[in-house]
Amino acid sequence: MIKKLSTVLLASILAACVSDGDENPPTNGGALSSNPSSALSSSSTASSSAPTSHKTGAQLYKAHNCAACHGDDAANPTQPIVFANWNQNSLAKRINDTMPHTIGLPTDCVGECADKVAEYVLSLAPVVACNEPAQALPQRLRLLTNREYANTINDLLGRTDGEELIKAIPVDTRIAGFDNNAKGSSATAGRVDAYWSVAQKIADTQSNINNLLGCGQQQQNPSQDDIRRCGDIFVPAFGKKAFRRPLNNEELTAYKAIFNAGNTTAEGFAYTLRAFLSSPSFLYRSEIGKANAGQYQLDNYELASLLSYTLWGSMPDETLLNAAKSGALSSANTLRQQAERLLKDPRAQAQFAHFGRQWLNVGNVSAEAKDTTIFSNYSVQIANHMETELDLFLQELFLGGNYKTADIYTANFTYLNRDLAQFYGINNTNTNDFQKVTVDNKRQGVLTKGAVLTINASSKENHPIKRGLLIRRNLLCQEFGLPPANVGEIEPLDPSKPLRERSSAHSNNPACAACHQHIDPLGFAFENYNGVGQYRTTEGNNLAIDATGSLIGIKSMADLDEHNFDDLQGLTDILANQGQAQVESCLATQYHRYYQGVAKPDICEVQNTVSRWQTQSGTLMDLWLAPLSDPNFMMRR
Amino acid sequence: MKRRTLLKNFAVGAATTAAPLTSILARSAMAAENNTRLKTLFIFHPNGAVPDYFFPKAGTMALPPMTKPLEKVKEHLLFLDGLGYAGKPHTHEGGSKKCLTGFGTDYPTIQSPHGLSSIDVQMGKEDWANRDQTQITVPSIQMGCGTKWGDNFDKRISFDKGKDLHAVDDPRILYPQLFGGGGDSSEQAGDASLKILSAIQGDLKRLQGKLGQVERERLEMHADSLTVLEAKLNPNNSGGGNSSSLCTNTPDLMQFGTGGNDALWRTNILGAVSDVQQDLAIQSLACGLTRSIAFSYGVSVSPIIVPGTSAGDHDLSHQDADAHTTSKIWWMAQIANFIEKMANTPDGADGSSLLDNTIVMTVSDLGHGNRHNHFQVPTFLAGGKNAGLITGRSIDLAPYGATGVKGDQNTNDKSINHSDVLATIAEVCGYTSCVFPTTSDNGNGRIHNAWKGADMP
Repeated sequence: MIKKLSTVLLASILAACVSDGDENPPTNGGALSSNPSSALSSSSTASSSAPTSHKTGAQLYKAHNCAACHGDDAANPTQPIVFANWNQNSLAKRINDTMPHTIGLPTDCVGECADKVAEYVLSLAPVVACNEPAQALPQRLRLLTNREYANTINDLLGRTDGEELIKAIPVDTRIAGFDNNAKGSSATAGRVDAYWSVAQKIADTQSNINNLLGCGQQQQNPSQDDIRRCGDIFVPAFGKKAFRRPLNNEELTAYKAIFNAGNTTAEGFAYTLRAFLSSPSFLYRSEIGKANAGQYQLDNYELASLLSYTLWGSMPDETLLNAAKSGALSSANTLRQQAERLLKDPRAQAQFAHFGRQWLNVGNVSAEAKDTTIFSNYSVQIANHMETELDLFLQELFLGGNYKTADIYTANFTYLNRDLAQFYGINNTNTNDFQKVTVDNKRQGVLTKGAVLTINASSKENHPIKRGLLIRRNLLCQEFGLPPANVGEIEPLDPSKPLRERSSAHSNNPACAACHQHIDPLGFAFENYNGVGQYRTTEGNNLAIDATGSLIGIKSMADLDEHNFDDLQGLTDILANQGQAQVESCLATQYHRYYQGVAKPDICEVQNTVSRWQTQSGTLMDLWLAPLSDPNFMMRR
Repeated sequence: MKRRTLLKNFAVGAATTAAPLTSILARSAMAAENNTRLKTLFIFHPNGAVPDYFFPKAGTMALPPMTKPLEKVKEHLLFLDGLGYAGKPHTHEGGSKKCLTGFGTDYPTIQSPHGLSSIDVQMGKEDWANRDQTQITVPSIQMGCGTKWGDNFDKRISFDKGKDLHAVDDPRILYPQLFGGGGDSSEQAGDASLKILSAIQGDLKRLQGKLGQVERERLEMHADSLTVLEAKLNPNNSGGGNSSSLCTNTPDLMQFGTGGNDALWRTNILGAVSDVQQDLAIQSLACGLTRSIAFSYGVSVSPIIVPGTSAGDHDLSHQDADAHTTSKIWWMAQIANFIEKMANTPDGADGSSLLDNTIVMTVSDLGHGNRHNHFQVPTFLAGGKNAGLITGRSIDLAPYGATGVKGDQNTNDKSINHSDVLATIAEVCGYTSCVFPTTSDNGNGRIHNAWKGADMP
């Protein structure tokens, strides 16, 4: 019986708890304790006395107490078995060599036992079949992220200081890399307090009030009637923009009363503005919808906000609100037209750079502490230039028009100014402003960008683990289980040994190798780029760089397809060509994560997006538009 | 007495020296007597430690390298070796999640009626529910120093029914929030504020009515948060607390400039931030704003470079013990200062200090930082004299614990669940609603005997 994989089951199977322990394990490899088994934790006191051949895989799983860590159905989300990473042979070997994590107890499961248990465990893997329609997302409220709040304030009130104002609000919670997860930030006491103070500050410093009021020239000493008349105009008109939908009668009454509490219209404005900006109708964007055939269909205003916050990170503009008012957004064609319009608007540029940076996990580069005795040319200014370079690069690729996924990895242009070009050792730019320039393949694609390289490095040297994980997790959407505990001491820094050699313990210790064989080789491909993104051919005491390696398992780490490369260019070429399907699917997954605000997007929905996208034109612009045609786009349950 | 504050200069994000805090004065003047009920302070330090370098040998107080900076306050400390975080995973993130929640991650998941909620939040809620007696103005405070890079759900240590809470590390934001009152300059403005708040609460109620079960918990949290705000704005709110001049103290926030908080984690400013944040925490406890604070030094996997070192804390934690010591001693020196300040802060007419009336507990996201386990987590208690805590000792509770999958120690090692300590603290302080799912099966899951001077739980 083939069953549809539900998101709940998916959540419990696909690696839930991939830890930063993977991202930041020992940077220096070296001799580990000589007794690996003493490093393994103990869990079981069970023993198996009957011969293996008489027992089934399920019985052996139980007898060897595998459930103690992995759960009765191999579904313990805190000690996950990432089914996608295993096939019969590799899993049987793993069990044979390293399981269970027990010291000195005669419960080793080897040979036939390992074979049977592997077969049993793999039989528990969920079967994904996408022949039924995916479930719609639940009805929900999405709290504006701080960034969305800042943009909205700027657009609503004609301000430019949104980014400054939000510094008082507690930082958003990122989940699976994105700050707009629907279950991320909440209205905690600290946050609500901050919203209140910020609203007050905004009201105190707002200019251009007469225009915003929209009720004509204001009098010095207005009568109560004058104030009321102005409120009757202002509250519905401005309220509609603030709430991104018309106010209902109850709301109109309440907010008009607030306005009328002012002694002047300016005061009424200030009070009402403060009320609007702290209202849940402002702070949350609604995905509740109206009942329709057992589900809920988002109304036009909700669709307008969904579009504008996805593509602009801000409130709908007048055109979009008018389209909503006329009900035009119920038409798939109009929806798409509006989306295309939004994508061409300058407001999309910053938003898509934001998406890209979260996807690649490249935060604030200048916050990375770097040892400037080692990296003497590096500075905060260079770091900022690198961020500009990356933003411009991503914006061009994502929104420039005809670029495809492969271009992300192989595009032969970038954006440089004089200082950054010099820093990179390229002498092709002579202006303070950034220019689009052609570069050779040493600087092709996103993985050679200084920002990406600098973030994925430590203060003194490279970090092949972080760089390797960037590829596996962010670009190929592959997950890992947990690192083992108690792995022993790490060899200290030694400039007479290349980093590759100092990290060799990862491959020598079988407990580590299971994961690190998939990570380290990819990280070493970056060795021609130092910890601040500069190109080099030697490291340490003039040791020659070796950036060769193999990418094994493009689609899944259980696969054995092997792709050799000589350097980072070779690796990026592999990603763009042999890896095209996987990187496309992964990018679509990440986009779903972002626009849906979920950590684990529905596999089938992503597949549908990819089909639609590739059938259209395969350009990145069409990826951003592809979900709009999904029947579930407008629906909630 | 009406409570008004004149904090126009204290617009959020700006930093100036403030006008007198009339609200605090008003509140303390109204306090019938000094309120000296027990308080709690949970201090997180990042990336674990090396047990042999952290714990004095049981029965002695000869401080090893990592805890040497605590020499000046060691009479106030009770080192607890042998604690483990129950359940999996044994990672940074697992430890962040467990250290203040006692939350079980064993399978099937051990449930709690409070969901994933940390001790500071649980205690705060009970205090808030009883605020007529406790007279606090905020349920609990989550704050810290150098909490940048902590914006990931996986790195937080404080939770409220599964919602993670940010530890505010910018005193320019925290100070006005805690001590700023309503910010209204006149009675009329104050009345308007209350009207505005009432409209917002009305909006929320309408939304809750319309949505029913959809997003119910989220909106309930929002409503609770508005209640806290309302208490802050209400002119008739009276608080209880220390009437000393401490409560009118205004910190020097100008030293941090008026720029963004991006720079408050930089090595050269970390000490100054730590100092001011400690003062704010002490002020909050001593002046009765709250009874429970979670203070986070750094965050799990913190890459912060502390003064005296040239590499990130996390990188150092993966080198040898001596290397890790170079950064650990900075955090420990901060904690030593913190404890010393509390010892020097009067709290109560009976000559007690704030430290006497506060139970301090340190936690971390790991036990052995390099080995990534949850065993021998670097924990000590401090203060709590008026709670009957006997300090100036180091004990090892492991022999009284159990073997099993706790903190990933080796087969023959025993440990006590650290949530036994959390549960003990909650009981000693008189809380009745707190739940920590993974208290030990052996004994009664408490350490009351150790608390009172024994070597055993």
